[in-house]
Amino acid sequence: MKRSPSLVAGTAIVTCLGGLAMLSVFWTPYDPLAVDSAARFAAPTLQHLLGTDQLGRDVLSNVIEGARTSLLAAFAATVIAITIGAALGTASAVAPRWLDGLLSAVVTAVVALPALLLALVLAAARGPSTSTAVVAIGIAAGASVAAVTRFEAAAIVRAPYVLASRFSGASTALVVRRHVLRNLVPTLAVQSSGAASIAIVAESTLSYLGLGTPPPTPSWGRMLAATQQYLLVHPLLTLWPAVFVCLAVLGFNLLGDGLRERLDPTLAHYR
Amino acid sequence: MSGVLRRLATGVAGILFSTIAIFLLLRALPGDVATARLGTDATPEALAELRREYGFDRPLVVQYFDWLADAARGDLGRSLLSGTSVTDDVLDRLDVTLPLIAASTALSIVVASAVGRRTALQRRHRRTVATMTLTQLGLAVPTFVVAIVLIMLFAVRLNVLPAGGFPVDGWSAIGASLRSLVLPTAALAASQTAMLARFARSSALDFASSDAFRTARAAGRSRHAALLSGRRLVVAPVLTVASLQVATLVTGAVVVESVFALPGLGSMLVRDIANRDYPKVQSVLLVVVLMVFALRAVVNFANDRLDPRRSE
Repeated sequence: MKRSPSLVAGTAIVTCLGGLAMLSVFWTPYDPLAVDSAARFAAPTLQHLLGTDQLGRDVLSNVIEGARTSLLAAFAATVIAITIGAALGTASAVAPRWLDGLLSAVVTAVVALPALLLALVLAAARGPSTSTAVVAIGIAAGASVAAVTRFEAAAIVRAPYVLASRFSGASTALVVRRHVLRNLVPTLAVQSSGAASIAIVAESTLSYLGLGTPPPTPSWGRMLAATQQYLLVHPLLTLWPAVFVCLAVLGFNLLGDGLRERLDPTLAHYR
Repeated sequence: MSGVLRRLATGVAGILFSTIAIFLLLRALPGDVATARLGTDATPEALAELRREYGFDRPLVVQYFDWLADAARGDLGRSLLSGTSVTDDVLDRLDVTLPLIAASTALSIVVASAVGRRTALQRRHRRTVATMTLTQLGLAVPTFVVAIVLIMLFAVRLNVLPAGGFPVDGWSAIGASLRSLVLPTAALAASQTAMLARFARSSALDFASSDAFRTARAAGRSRHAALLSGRRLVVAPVLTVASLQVATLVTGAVVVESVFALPGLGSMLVRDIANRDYPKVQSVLLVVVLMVFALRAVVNFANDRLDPRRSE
């Protein structure tokens, strides 16, 4: 099988960022919240590899901690999205027609409200917090996962081997467990990277708007918002969190593309 | 015709579902609206007075249908904070938001279709590889980061366009108004264009391997002219994706307006959410949802005109 460059690059980026996030649990170069008013806006040096910010905090430490915030949010939102998506999609595929119709209508309506808008509503209702954002993003992404999953699951349910297993007495529950869910794994893998990339964009955007991760937890989006006013004099301060957000999204996008190419060789045609 | 009717029915059902979701999320989930407005140390009399004034003391079902009926008559209620008419506020702000969204939608579709056609004809060309890499990167950069980069380049470094804001006189200063919308439109269209370009390319590649394309080539047309002869078929799938992406674009507008400090619907929404002005947020969200469905209907209509088989 041909190696897919997207898959390799995506896996590399996601693994590196995941490593950074893990690292932040045990160690960061400095305390990310330690304020040093004598060393505000320090240029990158050997002591502070990415310099210090407007309060004299070490930028590298904040970026590393931000990776944890961002990836944890993405992970949680993805788990919610995949759980909802797989459950609704599978239920739709094996349910009687009327229930399928109802579920599809709900899914279509939620897909019409994008993750960010739903997150805005929830933030309005419950106050800004990471968990509110995560739940909203998870639900919204779950709807689009459900739409894809339903399509795939319906195809699996109609496959001859599944019909054969039904005729030999397998219950719906057994069919779902043994055939549908197992065969959905590749699709869900692709969908997870899509959901993760949506979640990272949504979390950083919400935090940027002040409706996501509240202070003092370091977050890329809030770093961007806080440093934007110093753009003219200290553009590097804004650059670092921006680069990391983009890198994370790019990583998950490439990972998803790579997985999709693996699953569907005809896509190579479009390269 | 039945296709149009069915779409209308799904649209209405979708809007109704969204109104229920918005209403329940804002009214049933949180604590008391009146307490949120007046604070926890407000006297019970003051709370009751505010509840009566805004009708929060009535059953939820009654409130919901009243809200819908009023909205249908064009009355979106009053702001909890300023007491001003939400309808007036919304109409005021649409001046900025509608042009922004319309321009970005059009821009992204036109640019993406052109990019798709061009890159499909030159499969292994260096420029194609560069363009496709650029679209992959474009997909990875969140809208607010694009906006910040554009401000840095064109407003701070080159100083050719305003970094934000909108003329106080509105559209009467048309030159200044247009100039202040250039960067926001570009920022909003960027990731949309990147995504649509990828679809445009695969759609153009599909057409380039079709019998219609081969026939056109056999009749002596150049590759470019042959591809152009199928432009309707090439653009149709792009419009389909664009219609699905409308909601993302509209929320993108919320972000872009906040970054560029534009007096639009989106920046107002973010401020009202921060101020916990629930009745207003609820009505503004309704307008946003209506905008999503209306814009999608426009794109779908254009798509039907391009590819008449769709509406059968």
